[in-house]
Amino acid sequence: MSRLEKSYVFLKNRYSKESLFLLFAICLLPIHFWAVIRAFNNISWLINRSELDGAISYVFYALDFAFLESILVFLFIFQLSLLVTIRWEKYKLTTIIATLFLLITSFAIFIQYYQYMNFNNKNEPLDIFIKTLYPGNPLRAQLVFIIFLITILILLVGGIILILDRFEKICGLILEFYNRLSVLAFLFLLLDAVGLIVIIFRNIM
Amino acid sequence: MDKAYDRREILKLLTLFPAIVTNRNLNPNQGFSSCKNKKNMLIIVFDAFSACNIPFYGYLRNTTPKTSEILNRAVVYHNHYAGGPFTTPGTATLLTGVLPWTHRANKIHNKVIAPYNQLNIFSEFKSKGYFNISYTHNPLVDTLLQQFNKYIDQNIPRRELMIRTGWGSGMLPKDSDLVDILQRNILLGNEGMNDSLFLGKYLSKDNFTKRQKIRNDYKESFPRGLPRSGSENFFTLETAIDWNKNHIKKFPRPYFGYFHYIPPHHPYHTRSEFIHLFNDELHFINKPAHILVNGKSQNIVDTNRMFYDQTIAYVDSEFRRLFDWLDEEGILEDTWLVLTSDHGEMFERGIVGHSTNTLYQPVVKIPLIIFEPGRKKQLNIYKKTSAIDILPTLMHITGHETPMWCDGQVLPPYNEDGQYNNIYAVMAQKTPTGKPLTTATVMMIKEQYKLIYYWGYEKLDYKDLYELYNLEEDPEELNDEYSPNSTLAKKMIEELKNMIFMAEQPYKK
Repeated sequence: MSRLEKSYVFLKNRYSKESLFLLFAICLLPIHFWAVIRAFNNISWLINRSELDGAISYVFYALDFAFLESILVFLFIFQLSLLVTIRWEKYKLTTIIATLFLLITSFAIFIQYYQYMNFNNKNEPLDIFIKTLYPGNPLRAQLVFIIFLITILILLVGGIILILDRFEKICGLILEFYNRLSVLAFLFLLLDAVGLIVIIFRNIM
Repeated sequence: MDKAYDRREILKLLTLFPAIVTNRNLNPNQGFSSCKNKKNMLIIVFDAFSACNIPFYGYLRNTTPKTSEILNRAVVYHNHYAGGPFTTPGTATLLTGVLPWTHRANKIHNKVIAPYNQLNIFSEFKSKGYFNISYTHNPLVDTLLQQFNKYIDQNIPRRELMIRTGWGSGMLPKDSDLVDILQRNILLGNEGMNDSLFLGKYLSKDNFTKRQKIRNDYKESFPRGLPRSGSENFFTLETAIDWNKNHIKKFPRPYFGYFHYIPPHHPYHTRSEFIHLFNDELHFINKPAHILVNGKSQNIVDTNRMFYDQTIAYVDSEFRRLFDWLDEEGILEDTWLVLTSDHGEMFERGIVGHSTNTLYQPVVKIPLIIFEPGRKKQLNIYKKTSAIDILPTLMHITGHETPMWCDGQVLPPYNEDGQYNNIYAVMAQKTPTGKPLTTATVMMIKEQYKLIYYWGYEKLDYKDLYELYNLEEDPEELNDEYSPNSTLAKKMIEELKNMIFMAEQPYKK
């Protein structure tokens, strides 16, 4: 077998078309949800500044950027998943990778929220927690906090892999949930396509 | 010998015919050559340039020493007013010759309504055979220039004279404002949150590195940072002036050039040689904060005023460099040069800048200097003039009829018979396009009196507010003479409201 044929067989053993699309959909959804939430956060002052058509166009620009981001993130996750040596069945591999991605997304949202609280000087509970750990040594306290977060992450990753590998029923239920969720991805893809047409129209006309 | 042409000779003559046709087409001045005796016109606009910060208009600091030296070549207008307190209405007023309540470009990035998209300074000069060329650093002005693009022979893209541009200006110039906002929210975040969940962090680090590199590259010449438009579009005024020097002689004649540069607009990033100027003990009058303003402290106001004055010195230096070159090259012998602004800038009453619902003198009084070919002695005009007067005046001095649709009139000394017209300015940023003015501030100057009328503001409980000043006795607008019983106030209010009523007719249903 040539190298190309070997690669094709390798990929075919890992993913089917449906499972690849499902993974893409799971990558796409949180990125688009975040983009829409953030875009609508700006809508009221954008309408004031740029009229309604400008504000709506801004949402489309945000969605199309989210689409580009989704593709890049999906490709990255896909590449990483090829390094997994455990021979899971296709549906199990997709479910585990997708769940781990959603876990990372939750952390990303947590970090964003933490920065927001920091910006508005509302991080007192976390600040107090950090200061209590090592009073008088904030740098050490922050380092310990980061190590604590990483530890939690590793435990969660390990836990997810263990549960989904051992318990077929749970894995099946989660997969079913993702399948239903992936319908939303079609809606976002449609909006992205409409957005692209609007962008082209606005910049050419 | 037979004197009649034979067939062979006629055929030889006919071979010259294609050469005659193509030579006509290759002539770069084709279509303009019939107007080559007409003088050229150059308008240089420096954004947010307030007359109240210029020494030859009475300012205490010597912010424009170099321009002051060349006023003997100019007609200097000492009481010239913008149409609005920020770029869109101010520039649209200058370019259309009608007031903001007529052209309706009242909000950021608004365009003018029909028919002013077809009736403007560019369409007029184009119809008279001029080659129109334009450039701006300012995205709000770019929106208007894009609208008038049909009448502009060469509208230089913003990015061409910039050191670094954001995604908007670089890739999507027609929506540059929206894309620049998205870029800022992705790279710099908004209140700590990035609009991108993953890529933002990576891109902002990359962007930070690039910004730092630019900052370091120009640290010596611009210690406070490069002048910029928005958060990501960096430029120097020198680049723009050098471009003019390299290209003006190549413009087909006659030409009309409109060049609208951002300095001294915020951020007040001046060149290193001006950075220590005006660190003086001068104290300006501490005026009470206006009710519509969330006032800044006097310390912040004074510091920003100093930075702004330093930036004016930078503008002054670069304008003089352009003027000297134009003079040396003999271009000023057949070119009118106009120096003006779109609006002013305020450093009083708790306000820094021009994002204000007020229309006090610093934000509406702007310079107007016309360098006339052949003039050797300064002429001062103290009559009150408006940005709406520029279009008819330029038409008149280039030997053309003034457009019938202009609100303005030909300025002295080019028309000594002109009547006195009231001066108006409008601030209506909260009013949706195409709707009646529901929340606005309007100013009327009649002889020496200035009336400011506010209506529709929530902070005023939606009640009308009036202010009346005698500009001759009280140029600092400290003493509000308004009284509901004042005959003068009643007369001015009636006159102003009639003007507003007439302007609003198309929008009342």
